[in-house]
Amino acid sequence: METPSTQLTRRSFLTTTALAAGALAASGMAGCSSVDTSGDAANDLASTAGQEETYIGTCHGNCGGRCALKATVREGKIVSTLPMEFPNENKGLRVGCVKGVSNPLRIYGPSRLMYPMKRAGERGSGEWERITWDEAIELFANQLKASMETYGGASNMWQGGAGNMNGILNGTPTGIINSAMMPDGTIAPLPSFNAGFANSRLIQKTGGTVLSVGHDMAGIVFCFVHLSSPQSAVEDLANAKTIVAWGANPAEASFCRAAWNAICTGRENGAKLIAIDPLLSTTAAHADEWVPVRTGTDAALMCAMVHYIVDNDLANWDYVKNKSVAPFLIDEAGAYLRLSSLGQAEAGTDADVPVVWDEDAQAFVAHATATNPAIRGTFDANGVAVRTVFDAALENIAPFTVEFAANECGIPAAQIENLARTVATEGPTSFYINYGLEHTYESWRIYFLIGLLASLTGSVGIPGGSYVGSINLGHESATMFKQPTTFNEDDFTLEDAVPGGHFTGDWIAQIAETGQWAGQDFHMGTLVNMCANPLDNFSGSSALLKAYDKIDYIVTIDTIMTTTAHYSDLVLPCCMPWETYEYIEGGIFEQKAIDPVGDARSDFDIIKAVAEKMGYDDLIVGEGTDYLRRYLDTPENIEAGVGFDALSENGVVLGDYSCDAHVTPEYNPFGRTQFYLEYLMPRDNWGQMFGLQDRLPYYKPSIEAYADNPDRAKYPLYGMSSHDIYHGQTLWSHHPWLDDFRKLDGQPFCRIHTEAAAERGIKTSDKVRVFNDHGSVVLNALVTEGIRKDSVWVPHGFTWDEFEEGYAQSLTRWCPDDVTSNNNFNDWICEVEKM
Amino acid sequence: MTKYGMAVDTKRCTGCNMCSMACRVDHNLPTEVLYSRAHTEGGEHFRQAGGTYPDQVTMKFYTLACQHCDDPACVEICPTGASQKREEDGLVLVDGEACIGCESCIAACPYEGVRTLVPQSPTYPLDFALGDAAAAEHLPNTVEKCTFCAERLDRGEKPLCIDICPAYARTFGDLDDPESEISKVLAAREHEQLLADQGTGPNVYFLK
Repeated sequence: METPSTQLTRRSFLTTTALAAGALAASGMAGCSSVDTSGDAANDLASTAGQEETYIGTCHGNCGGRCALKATVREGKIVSTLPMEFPNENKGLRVGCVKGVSNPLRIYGPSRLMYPMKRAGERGSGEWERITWDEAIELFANQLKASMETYGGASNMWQGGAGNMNGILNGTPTGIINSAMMPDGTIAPLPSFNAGFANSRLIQKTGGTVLSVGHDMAGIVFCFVHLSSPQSAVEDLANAKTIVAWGANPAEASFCRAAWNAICTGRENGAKLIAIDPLLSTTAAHADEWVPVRTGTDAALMCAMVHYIVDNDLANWDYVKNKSVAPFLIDEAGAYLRLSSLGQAEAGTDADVPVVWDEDAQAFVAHATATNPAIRGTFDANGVAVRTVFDAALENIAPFTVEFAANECGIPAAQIENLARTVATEGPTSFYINYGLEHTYESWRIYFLIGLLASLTGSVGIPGGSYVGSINLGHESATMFKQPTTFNEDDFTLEDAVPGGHFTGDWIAQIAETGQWAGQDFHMGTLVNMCANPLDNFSGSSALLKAYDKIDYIVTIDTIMTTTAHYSDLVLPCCMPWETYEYIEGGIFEQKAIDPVGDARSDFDIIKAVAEKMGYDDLIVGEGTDYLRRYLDTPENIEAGVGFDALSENGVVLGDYSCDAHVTPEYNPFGRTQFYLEYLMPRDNWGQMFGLQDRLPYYKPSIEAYADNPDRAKYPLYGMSSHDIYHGQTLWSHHPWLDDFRKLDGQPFCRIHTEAAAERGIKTSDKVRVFNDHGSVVLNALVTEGIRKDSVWVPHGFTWDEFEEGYAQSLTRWCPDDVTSNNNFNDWICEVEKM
Repeated sequence: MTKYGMAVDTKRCTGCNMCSMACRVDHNLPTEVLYSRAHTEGGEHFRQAGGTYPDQVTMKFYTLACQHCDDPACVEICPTGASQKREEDGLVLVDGEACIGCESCIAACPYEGVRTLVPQSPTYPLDFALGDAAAAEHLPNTVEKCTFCAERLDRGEKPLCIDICPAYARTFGDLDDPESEISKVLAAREHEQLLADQGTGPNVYFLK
């Protein structure tokens, strides 16, 4: 290449070429916002250098994680939000993500709600009237009061969510088990978890109804409540020899973002990574093997693997006999045979433990002292026939063989058998599980199978062996930051609390049809959406929207005009992180860095004003920080250096971190891995009872996304969505710099297999409609080999107005189950047509 | 003499673009400018798999920014000398004051997309400057690209993308020092480069 002989100056160049000043158009990258982008102020750094402050917080990214981020403030604006640095070696626990570092665009984005608004046209018309906070609080308070007086306090419903990270001040109360049946047959609401200080108190004062969330509840209730699954440290994944990412995408989406680092370290040490997913996720793309299971059939795959391991004598029989509930004995009704049945202990006491048939002793022996428990067989216990749980489990899943699963899951039999052999013989195995496998109707059943597989492979409580990955992995914060260990929660409970309601919010669709809840008349007077965006993020969106017609008044407190806000009557702007103080479980004190943008207020301040307007002047007194001080300043915390002062001044207090790959053995009363339950407690009780078949491992096809559904004639494709790194529910919607990565030609896109696309005349970048009886959405198509041929993936995390027509969540079926009231995001079928 | 280079571990990189976004925010880039981003090897589009379902599907990620070449095509073609290679550490930089925006370097560089012309009227997402206070001003009608965070190197820090990667996939250091982290990593792992046959001598490596 020649060196130019003339030395062009800028001016001469401009006049001699077409690139005259002003002729250049902006390139086709992310569009300008309505914010002043002239560049003058945005390009002037020199004057403000050196005047910076930093504040610790988390980004409320709603990814489930809680990365400690450091916000830098210059001239009263947050200019940077980078992961906090750690002085000590943290071996891969410092994370953060593409979303977190772009917080300034979210906080100051043009879609931010700036002031309170009330509906000016029909619901969903998009016509709004700006009002003052005084007017807004008066409307809100008067509505609550009127509904209370006319229909009773329970008619005011408070939908909770995770939008504020379940923060102590600005989160919302929620529950796992929401109600219970009393001995007299009445249904009693149970208390919620202590989060969302102000609204907790107001709800109790007014006898309101807590609407708990349904998302991820099959997993949460089974892991944390029913089966008490033990929690390993995330670092322990590096010790595994086989890692099975099941319904999980640790490369992108994990409550513990450091899991990917631990997995990479494990792989560097020779571990094999297997990904089980209908979609070729980023994890699957990296994996040594991708098992493209059909949505909702994972439990069938597990059944087949159980059969293969048992039939081929590959099990860790020592674990099965001595450390699982396999040898426990159950009668016809499913009750454990206990010492009391043999007259060897008093019924109902701690001493009355389950017994097993000890082959050595040839007698029934307390399980903890038996030396050789039988795991097969039926025995006579004083005239009562009892059989082993293991027998009952295998009988219950007898039909779901390798051959059955090959057909049901769409996975070759040889691959299923190889998978089973691998997890059984190439351990220690970590089943890294996330909620992806519990997004179809009655998918709660899979947790019994996970427990059974874990028992058969001994993947419990040993280095590298674990079975409930993402749900139960410790947050990185928990091992790096000093944690307060005690809390003063007195203020969360009102002495003069009025009994109110408590059930999973998704049931409003049923109440809209029947006018009743749990057999009693129920009037839906007010719905307050706090930290929640049901219409975009819950499943069954179309049914929920229809239910809104039966709700007198809807208030939504949020930061942008979500689909839920769009259909509300009153919309109130609340704070984003760094705009108010908060304490988040995990040892993170969020410092206030800036004043709220526009006229936004913290949820705490909003509810406090409402309470005062309703005449409850003593209900919420003082500032949020006053409550946080009382909450955190226990003698233990102060002494440990994690009281209010230490935390509020530092954001986080670093602990003496050392790479702690601790493993936890089973901690349930039996000390054994469970895959059976004597009692199954529903989350929302209306008197339902569950038979033996429901308390053992079992497989049931999805309620809509099943192969023989006659509707597949018109909707042949199985639909699904998933979380990726570019979204965090809808908290990152309306974000042009993230759109650069997550849109295709400026539009959200769906993923469809090459063959399915060809059959429909669809090519990449074509505009398509995905539709079914529940709803529809128009978006672009990305044709790929990285998905099952019979499935289509739609994005999760865009709001309705980011689609040209319709919205993705409208496609989901409303089908909460009667055990977990779960959100079943992936139980729907659809068709795709080119536009 | 120091010769800075970078290594990206493709067994760890998930194409999450945190490096791209952190760089974009920290350098207060105009909307039209991007120094670095993740690409997909597999399909034509980002996050599009290639190969054949189900057993031969491929999708791999790598990040692409200026390669800070040994024999930069941009330096050779630049008519004003704005495009330069620093002797003391090998950084390839653009002197914005000398750049006339002719875009010859963009045409000459084999690595598509790593250099961008700042438009005559650049736009910004917000009405105040983001990121590092030491981030350079963006002169209209000049070409910009990754500088290996020269302002951070001056402070004794590593480039932001190196520190920030949540998968710990990125290594940076002196390729001429056999004891440096990057030299050790390259000695221990199989690696490849992009468009090595173009002859510009890139200094970014991809661990296989």
